[in-house]
Amino acid sequence: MSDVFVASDHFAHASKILQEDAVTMSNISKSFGATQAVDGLQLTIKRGETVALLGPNGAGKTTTINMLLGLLSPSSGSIQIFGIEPKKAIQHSLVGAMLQEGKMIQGIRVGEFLDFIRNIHPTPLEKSALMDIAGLHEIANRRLDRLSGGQSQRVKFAMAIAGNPDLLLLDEPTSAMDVESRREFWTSMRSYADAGHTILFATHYLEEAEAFASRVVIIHSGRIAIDGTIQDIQQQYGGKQMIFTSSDASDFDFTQFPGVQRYEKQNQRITLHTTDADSTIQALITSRCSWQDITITKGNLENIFLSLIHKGAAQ
Amino acid sequence: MKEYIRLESLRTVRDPLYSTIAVIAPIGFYLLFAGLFGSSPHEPGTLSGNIEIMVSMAVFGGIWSCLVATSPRIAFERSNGWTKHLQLLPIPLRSILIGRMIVAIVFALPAMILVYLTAVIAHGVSLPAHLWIAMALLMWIGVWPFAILGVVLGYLTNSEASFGVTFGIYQVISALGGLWVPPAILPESILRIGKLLPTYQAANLGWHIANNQFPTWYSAWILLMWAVIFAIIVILMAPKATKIQ
Ligand SMILES: Nc1ncnc2c1ncn2[C@@H]1O[C@H](COP(=O)(O)OP(=O)(O)OP(=O)(O)O)[C@@H](O)[C@H]1O
Ligand SMILES: [Mg+2]
Repeated sequence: MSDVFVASDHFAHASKILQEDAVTMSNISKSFGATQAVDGLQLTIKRGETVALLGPNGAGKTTTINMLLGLLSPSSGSIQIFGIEPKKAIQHSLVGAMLQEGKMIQGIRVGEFLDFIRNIHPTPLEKSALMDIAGLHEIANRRLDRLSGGQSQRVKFAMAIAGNPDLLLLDEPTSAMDVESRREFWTSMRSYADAGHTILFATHYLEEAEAFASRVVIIHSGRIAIDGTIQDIQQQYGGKQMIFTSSDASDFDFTQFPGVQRYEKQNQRITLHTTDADSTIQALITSRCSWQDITITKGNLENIFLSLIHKGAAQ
Repeated sequence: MKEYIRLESLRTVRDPLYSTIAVIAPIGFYLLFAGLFGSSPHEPGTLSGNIEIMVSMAVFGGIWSCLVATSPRIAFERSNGWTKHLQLLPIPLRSILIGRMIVAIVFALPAMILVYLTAVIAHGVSLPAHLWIAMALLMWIGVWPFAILGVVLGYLTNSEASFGVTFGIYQVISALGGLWVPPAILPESILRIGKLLPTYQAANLGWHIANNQFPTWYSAWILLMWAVIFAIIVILMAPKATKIQ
């Protein structure tokens, strides 16, 4: 499949563009009335990177992506895609995207729609390859306005990659897909990335970010909270979880223990989130707290994410 | 633009609002009205009912072709987010708008010609060839301003209101413009308003030519004036209407 995605060369003559970073956002802010949706965002994405954009509802992910697509203009700051304005990048078929909202056109069949999309791009993917990748063969004769949520998500995916764009921006791309489609989707994405394309995707599925992204950017209230590779983040912020049962836990405030960021208590089951498991366990042993069945696990992205949101909310 | 025109054409062909209201309804109304009033005696120098009603109904169908391919679609796409997807394609929005209007007016022609054919077949209407051609061509051009009006209405309404508002305006200006009731029967006060409307003047081009008269410049000016007014509104509204919320 990967030979389908030969890096597009319709812009090869403009070798300058090939040397530019895929995305450059300098000091981007966007407000809607009193709401500050994006607040001084600074983000550079190099060619070939696969970046996951994470953040709670309302963090500013969609706003950011819409600005990268030229659908929204920033209140301040400047954005470049391959060194040019977002709108121009779209006119040159350098960018493809899946939007979070938006329904499809009426009265057109899937196959006809793909013909249309392919014909307006200078170097489109082969139609049959496109239908393979997006899994559209069975629904080629279906009307766009009569598709299920997951099916229309697949058509949007086909629409995004039809022009073989160098940069893909995906806003919660798998949100309506079933397990099987989701797996197929990420397989296709991986070969798309392997062909040297740049991908930025917003998601709430942390395991998608963990499995697929080479870099993770977490935004919160329109600002970048964390930016790094999964490994970096796990090292830097990746505390551990210490889970045990205790009968007298209510007598203790575990946040007083060294390293403990926060903890959860469910009946007798205690989960400590700690950045320094060694010191925490020392403290636990020397405390008068009773404990059994202790397990210590490495923090995953979800825990990092939660503790971050937690901190954000506490501030 | 060519690709977009193809896409919109497919939609129009499949649009039941086009086939029923723009194509079938005018033919049906022609058969009905021409059957009732078509062959009643008429004064020398005026048109027979068969021909007068043919002109009215052709304009009536042509106008709806122009409106149905623009207003409801634009309103719907603005409401449901398709407008955003359009902005991700390497086609300028201007081409999309122009492509849409081209489809609207192109599909007006068959709708109008089918009314002429019905008149010929059902009521034996006959005109010299050069009059047929001049009439069909000028009346077709006469309905073009309605494609721009359709864009205006698409910008002004949302998906729920669009069809109702567009259809309502269509009926009102058709009635005031003498397409439903022959102008000769309309009260003077209404006719005075009617003559300022593009509906009346588009039909008036046909009434004159079918009667072997030169159409008046006044018709052309009125139609041009409306086209310019609608176009100015479109140009003023387009940036806001196509911007995402
Ligand atoms: N058109 C708008 N008008 C007013 N406020 C808006 C608009 N669009 C977004 N916002 C606000 O800006 C903030 C960021 O919204 P955005 O859609 O970017 O969040 P998100 O990170 O994509 O969230 P989600 O995970 O729910 O998709 C939110 O507080 C939202 O209410
Ligand atoms: Mg969003």
